[in-house]
Amino acid sequence: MNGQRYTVVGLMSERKLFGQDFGNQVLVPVTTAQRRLFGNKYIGALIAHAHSGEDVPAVTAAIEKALRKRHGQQAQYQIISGRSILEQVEQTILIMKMVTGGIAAISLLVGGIGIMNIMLVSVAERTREIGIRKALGAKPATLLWQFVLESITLSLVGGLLGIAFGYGLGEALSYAIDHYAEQQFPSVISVDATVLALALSTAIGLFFGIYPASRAAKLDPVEALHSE
Amino acid sequence: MSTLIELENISKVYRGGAEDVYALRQVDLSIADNEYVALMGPSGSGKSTLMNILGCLDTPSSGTYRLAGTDVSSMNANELAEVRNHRIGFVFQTFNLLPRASALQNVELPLVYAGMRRKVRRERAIEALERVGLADRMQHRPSQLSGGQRQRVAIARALANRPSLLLADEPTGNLDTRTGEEIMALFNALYAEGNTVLLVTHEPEIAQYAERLIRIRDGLIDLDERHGKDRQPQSAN
Repeated sequence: MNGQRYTVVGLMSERKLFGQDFGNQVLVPVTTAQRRLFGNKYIGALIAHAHSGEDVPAVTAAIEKALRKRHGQQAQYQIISGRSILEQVEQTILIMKMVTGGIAAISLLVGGIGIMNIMLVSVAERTREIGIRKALGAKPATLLWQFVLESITLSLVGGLLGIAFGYGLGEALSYAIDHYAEQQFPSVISVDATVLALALSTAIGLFFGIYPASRAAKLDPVEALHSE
Repeated sequence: MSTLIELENISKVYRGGAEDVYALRQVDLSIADNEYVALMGPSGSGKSTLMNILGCLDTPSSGTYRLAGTDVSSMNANELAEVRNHRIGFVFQTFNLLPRASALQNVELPLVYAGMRRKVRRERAIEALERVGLADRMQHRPSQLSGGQRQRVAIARALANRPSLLLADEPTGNLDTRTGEEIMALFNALYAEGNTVLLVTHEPEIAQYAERLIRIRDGLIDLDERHGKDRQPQSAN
């Protein structure tokens, strides 16, 4: 290394995490590194290991206290614990969740308006059928329910397709990671999310179906029968 | 014979921009159970308006309409739907069958709205289709049937809930002469079985089948005459 000779005293086994080989590195005693490799007397980073996760805040505080005592208030250092890394990751995930949630809400709104539009077209195209049904004795409430149910069916089919697509995408990604990164990354379908998706698509169908359905229910039977 | 239809002072006004248009002007009319009536009149005479009011599709602006003793002139949309379902069987010029439903499903429709159980309504619908001679066509869709057969399905649908009044609006208007005669023969037979038939037509030959002729002009009844039995055409069976 760097034109200098070292004696190899041991080999590390393969240690893989997220597809990266942490066994693929060279460890050198710290004094040797300072003197012969870098030519300074600094320590870039210290890694401390607590006995359990619960000890981490206490250990962090103790290390900080020790560092201050040794190097004074002006000392420049930063303590990063696994927990703070975890917190950062969690915050990033939360922001991502909010962004995707926002996108999902907007697409639900757009999809809902699409359903309302389709139902309005359907009511307009089937005006005559509505007239026939009215002549045969269908009450306004009966027709309202018929069209609301059609709209819910439409949005529920959409919801089921979405769940199937999500499941397929998860499985495909999991397979791809298994296959190319040689890493176990199973896809998990959460029951809560599935139930929420179904409930939400039903609610969308109901909400956006009511206006077109009420237009159908309120049609005048004479005019409806004579429409083309 | 008891009175089925009783109109008193029935008027229908359409509010226009400059002036109101009277489609019906204080019409009085009474039709008994088991009558066979033809309603004639040129377009714009108020014939369609009268038919819509008689069929409870529309309500009069003023006056009283009693159908089988019940005042229906000020009913709301729900009550009118119920009256149409139970009391009136419609037959239209353009058949007005639901294209995606089989003949049987079309005939069952008014029974569905009547809240009848599946088994009962199936029996009733089959009975009605047998009555019009279509027992072998029950699973066919309207597009797989001839015009005459479609009109028979429509008549079966009108009969299914055993209405007090059969209201036929130009029932032969879309049929050739021969098929039209067959349909009229069917109405004659239904009349002979005790049904009340109101035929709306502009064809005098079709009106001949009825026993009573009512002619309407400018929103008023200008002719109301009864034919004798001797004027019944030969094709009745």
